[in-house]
Parts: sequence; structure tokens; C-alpha cells
Amino acid sequence: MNDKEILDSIKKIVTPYTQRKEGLENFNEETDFIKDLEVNSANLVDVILDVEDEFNIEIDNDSMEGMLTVGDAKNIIERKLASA
Amino acid sequence: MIGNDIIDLNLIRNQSNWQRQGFLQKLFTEKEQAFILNSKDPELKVWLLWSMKEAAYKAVQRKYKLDRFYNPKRFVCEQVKIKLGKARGVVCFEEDVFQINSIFFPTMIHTSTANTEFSLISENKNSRLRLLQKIAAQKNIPLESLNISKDKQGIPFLTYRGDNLQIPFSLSHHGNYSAYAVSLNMS
Repeated sequence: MNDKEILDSIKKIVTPYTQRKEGLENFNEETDFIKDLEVNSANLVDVILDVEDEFNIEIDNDSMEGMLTVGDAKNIIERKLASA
Repeated sequence: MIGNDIIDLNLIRNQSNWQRQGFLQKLFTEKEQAFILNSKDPELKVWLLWSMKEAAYKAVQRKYKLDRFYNPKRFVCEQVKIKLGKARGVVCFEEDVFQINSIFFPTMIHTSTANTEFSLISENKNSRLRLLQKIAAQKNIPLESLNISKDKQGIPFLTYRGDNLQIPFSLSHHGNYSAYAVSLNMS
């Protein structure tokens, strides 16, 4: 799976939790879930659970701790897929 | 150090399904999960404990000037006692222990650290003005010289003619509600 496919997949996952839809227009690795997309902090866990389901990986608490941007999520997914 | 959190319960019901597989396990310790699931009103307990963790997180972030992070299980709620629309408890984060108070209504929960001298809860967006009015009156300074700025970690602070007033406060918005918690002493 290449970078773009992973980013598209993250975008699809985060869209229903995005309160600031303009944030989706310029969706890239710098996009911050809370600042740019205004995802509610309780919904971040839904993003994580959806990512786990979609990629069939498990995101431990230490990885979750630094998952603030789309790029952070992409790096975690790639790392987990590589070690699977 | 101060921290607060407000939850619009009508909105959170639409935004989150706490009964979803894995949801409680990601956010709460096993002891917290048992506390929630053994209670008569698990939904209220979910959001009460969540607001406690959020308030403590803000206090920790402010105390240690930390960058943002997302690890709710590092904040452990203990000794939660509930009575007549109020709750108190502690949240432990490593060596720190925060005393926490909450009030709740059918439509909202507001939680703040116990060093809060006063809090303002608004159903509309005017709580910013109300906060500035209150500080202006307390400090006997003109309202128009007061402002709110944010530092690079996103932590808000009050300024008087551009100078940091060093009045610790915390703000929270959710849905129809916003709330400020202010500590006028320097703690």
C-alpha cells in the first residue's frame, strides 16, 4: 500500500468526525485532527478504532499518544504494517 | 494548576457511541471500566470520568508546558463520589494528584480542578466577555485593556495592555456550552 492510498483511507475514516469540513479540502500529512479538522477529543478514539479495523492492526497507547496529525497516523500505520 | 472541561450531553450522544467495541478499553483503565459498567447510569459515568481526565490533562499540560498528547489511560480517576448533581474525585498522573470537582445536569457536565476560584458557564458564546468583565471588576482595571492570547502550546492567558496578567484560567467549549475556570490566586 503506497502513501497516497494510506492518506486516502485516513481521509475517509476521519471525514464523519470532522466538524470543520474546510479542513478536508487541503488534506495532507500536516493536517492536525484537532486543530484543522476540529475532531472532538472523544472522537479521536473512534478514528483510532476505525484505523485498527481498516488496516487490521493494533495501535497501542504509546503510539496513540503521538497521533495528532495525519502524518503521525500514516507513520504509525506503516510501522505496524511493516512489523505485522 | 488549573484545568476544566465542559460536555454538552445532547451533542456527545450524537458524536460518540461509548458502547462501541473497544471504546471503553482505549480510554479507561480496567478499574474505571468496572466503575462505569457496574453503575446504574453508565453513560453519565463515562462522560463524568472522561471530563475528569480532560480537566486533569489541561492542568498537566499547563504545569509542565507540554506539547499536546493523547493518552487518556495515563490519567487515572479514583475515589469518585457522586451526590445530588455533584461529583468529586481525584485524577492521578504519575506523581501528580489532582482534586477534581464536577457538577452535572441532564444536558451538561462541567468539571474543573479544585483550585478553581470561580467558573462561568454559558449557554451561548458570551462567556469570553463575561470572563473579561469579571476580571476587570476584580482587578479594578478597564475592560478594553484586557485580552486573551494563546501561547505556542495553545494554552490561553490573560493580558492587560499586552502584558501577561499571570491569572491562571482554563476554557472549554462543547456544543451549546462554554465554560471558564479561573484561579485568582497564583496557584
